[in-house]
Amino acid sequence: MEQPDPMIHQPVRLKILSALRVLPEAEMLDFVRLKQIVQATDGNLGAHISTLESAHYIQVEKSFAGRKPCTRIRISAAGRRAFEDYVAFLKALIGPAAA
Amino acid sequence: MEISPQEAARQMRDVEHTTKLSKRLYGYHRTSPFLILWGLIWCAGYAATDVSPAMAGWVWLVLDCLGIAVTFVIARRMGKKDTAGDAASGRIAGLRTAGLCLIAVAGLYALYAVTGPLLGRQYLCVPVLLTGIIYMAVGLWQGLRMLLCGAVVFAAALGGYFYMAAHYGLLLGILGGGALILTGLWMRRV
Repeated sequence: MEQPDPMIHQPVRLKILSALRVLPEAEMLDFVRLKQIVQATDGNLGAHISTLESAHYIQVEKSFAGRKPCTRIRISAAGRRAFEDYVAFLKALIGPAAA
Repeated sequence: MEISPQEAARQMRDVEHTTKLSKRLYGYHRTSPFLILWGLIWCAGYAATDVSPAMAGWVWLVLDCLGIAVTFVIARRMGKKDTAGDAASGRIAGLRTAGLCLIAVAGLYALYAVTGPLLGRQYLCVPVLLTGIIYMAVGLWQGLRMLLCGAVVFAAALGGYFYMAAHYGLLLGILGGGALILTGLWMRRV
């Protein structure tokens, strides 16, 4: 990767993918828990989730628990690959500086 | 878009921090139902032991079987969910987790057989003490909540043994079982 993926470069989106990628493939994380992990506001997180979803890096499921809306998110295979490429890019940048 | 090595290092720190936090919380979330289940088992078992010591053996046999069966069901459901509905994977996860409980219970009975007749309080104390030690050890890696749970359980077992011999079973049920249940509930929160 010669240029960082602008979709992942943004700090909150990077944290979203970092949080999601440790889960098993079929496991989803609900919006409230994700918000607390990445320390974002509702609106901020919602906007970044939409952006990542439009890039097909995450999958979003909306349902109701009784009357309460429930949004659950999981990283997609494309998102996992893109994230790993981005991390490899960061490590490559750091490597020469550390030496 | 250019990123400096310093900015890259900062982003990697964010990645590592978030990854570690997410992993820890996910581990808590998975452990939570088992703690609540066995907390309830302990509450019922130790309370019954206090009320009717003569029936204690049978009570614990029934409760342990129930606990292992429900552990299998919970673990199977989790295993199936992890693999997007694969029933075989779910069954394997269920069997492994229930197998772990079975090994623990069998190990305990083997220990009792080897040590010979113990005082009533010693029979009650040993499983709780061992659980506390294991949870504290696991907590060193899994996180503070497990470590604290183990410490409370260990303290209840040891402190109650020496200082509250009367109604020791009831104390273990309330403090030990209560600690497991409360920790299980705490682990459901971020």
